[in-house]
Amino acid sequence: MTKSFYFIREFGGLLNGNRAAKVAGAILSIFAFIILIYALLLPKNQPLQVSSGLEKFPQDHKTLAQIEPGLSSTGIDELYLSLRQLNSVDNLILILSEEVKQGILNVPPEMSEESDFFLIKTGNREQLLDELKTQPRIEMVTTISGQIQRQGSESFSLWLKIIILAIGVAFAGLAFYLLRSVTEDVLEGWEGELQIIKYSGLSRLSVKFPLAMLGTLFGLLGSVLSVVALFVLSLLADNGVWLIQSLPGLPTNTSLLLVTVWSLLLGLVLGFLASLSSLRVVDLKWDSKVNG
Amino acid sequence: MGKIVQIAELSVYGDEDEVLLEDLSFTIDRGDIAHLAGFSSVQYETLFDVLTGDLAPDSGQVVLCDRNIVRLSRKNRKKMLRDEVSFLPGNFIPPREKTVLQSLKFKLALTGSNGDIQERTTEVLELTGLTNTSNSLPVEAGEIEQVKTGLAISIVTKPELLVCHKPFAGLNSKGIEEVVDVLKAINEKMGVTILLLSDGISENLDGVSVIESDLDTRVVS
Repeated sequence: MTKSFYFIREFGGLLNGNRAAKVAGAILSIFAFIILIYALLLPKNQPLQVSSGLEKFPQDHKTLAQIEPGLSSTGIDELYLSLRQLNSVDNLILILSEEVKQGILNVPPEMSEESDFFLIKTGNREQLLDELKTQPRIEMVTTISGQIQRQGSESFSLWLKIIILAIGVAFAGLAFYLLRSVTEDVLEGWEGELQIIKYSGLSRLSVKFPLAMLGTLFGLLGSVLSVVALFVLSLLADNGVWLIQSLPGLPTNTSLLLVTVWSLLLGLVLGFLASLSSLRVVDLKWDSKVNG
Repeated sequence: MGKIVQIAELSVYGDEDEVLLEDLSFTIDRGDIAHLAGFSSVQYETLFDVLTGDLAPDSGQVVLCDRNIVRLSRKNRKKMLRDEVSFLPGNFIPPREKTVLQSLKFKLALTGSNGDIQERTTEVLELTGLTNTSNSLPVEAGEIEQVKTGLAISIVTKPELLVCHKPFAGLNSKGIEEVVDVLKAINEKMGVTILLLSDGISENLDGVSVIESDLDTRVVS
């Protein structure tokens, strides 16, 4: 294992100029590939925060605030008055837990159906979110985006899906080619080192393993970038309070975790396979007779 | 003085029973520089592969440093060869992007050699006459420097035995003389026994003994 780390460091030292550009290209291609896969796989029409019962409420009441469970009716009244005094609150509607249970309002899974809620209308969502932080009786807030309120819309057409898939596959192919090419480049310049390794009694696996690890590492980097991008983009897109609530198509933490794990696995496997496919060069050079 | 190399009745056959080596026997004393002359290229290559453990002989015994490498497991054979024997393959290509000194350190890192690296590399560079070019790339140097670099890399681990396959290929007589001088210095100052699997050198080199084997050289020409 010590030798593997040593070789990884050695290979890393060789990644300059053209080779570094290829590595960067490969990482970006993996990143683009996974982002496109997100675009295809992430569900677009989730009954996320509020769904079937929404039409029963004014459409401009887009902020759902969960009240501390078990709060007395007097406490709720006081909270109602307190919220009405906030500058950012234009109007608010109280929805009791019984109504939620009757299906008047579907709440996100992370919110408790045992709680009462306020649906709030505001002209300044940012300010509202800040002001709600000063209300200890409000336990959780979610913002209902316009996209989510539009039920049964926003699905990619089949042709668009095919085009996205084709571009994604092209990016995967490019990443594969670049990683393979950079591994072959490194090995091309390593003919002398391979001779020394061979006649030092080490096996060819001692070279192959760190090369495969390096390719896998590049794949992982690409996928980590894509996960970060997913988080940032979704945060910017919906401007939500909690990250999980602002990810369209990711209704629960479980989904978020799954998408993250799948993304990382996708990058790992792509990087591993690309470097694996180039390792035959090790065999060729290892077995070649240059004895003249 | 004991025998460091003992080859007895070594036979290697190629595809379709082509005879590569047959009943080859010879020995080398510890501390010698020995030159195995008169073989064909294929025979040199075959013997080199047998000694490195890459090729298993069909019959016979190969005793290096008091151990029969034919009977050792692959793992033990590799370890034994790594610790006690160094090999300089024919047409050795030095690392392209490493200086001579970096190449020596690379070999030491691979073999996990302990001790004072600075002291060891300095000694080897002096012995091989590469002190002044230790920080330059050997691939940019001449053929003699490249052979010397190969020798330096081979002996930096202080082996007991050094096996060189065609170390003089491509060198003129002056170059051969220079390399032989380096080999003698390695032999005298480090006590390394050297086996030269090579033709193209005079059989009357001072200090280099010619191995008499009973190999039937007619079998492969």
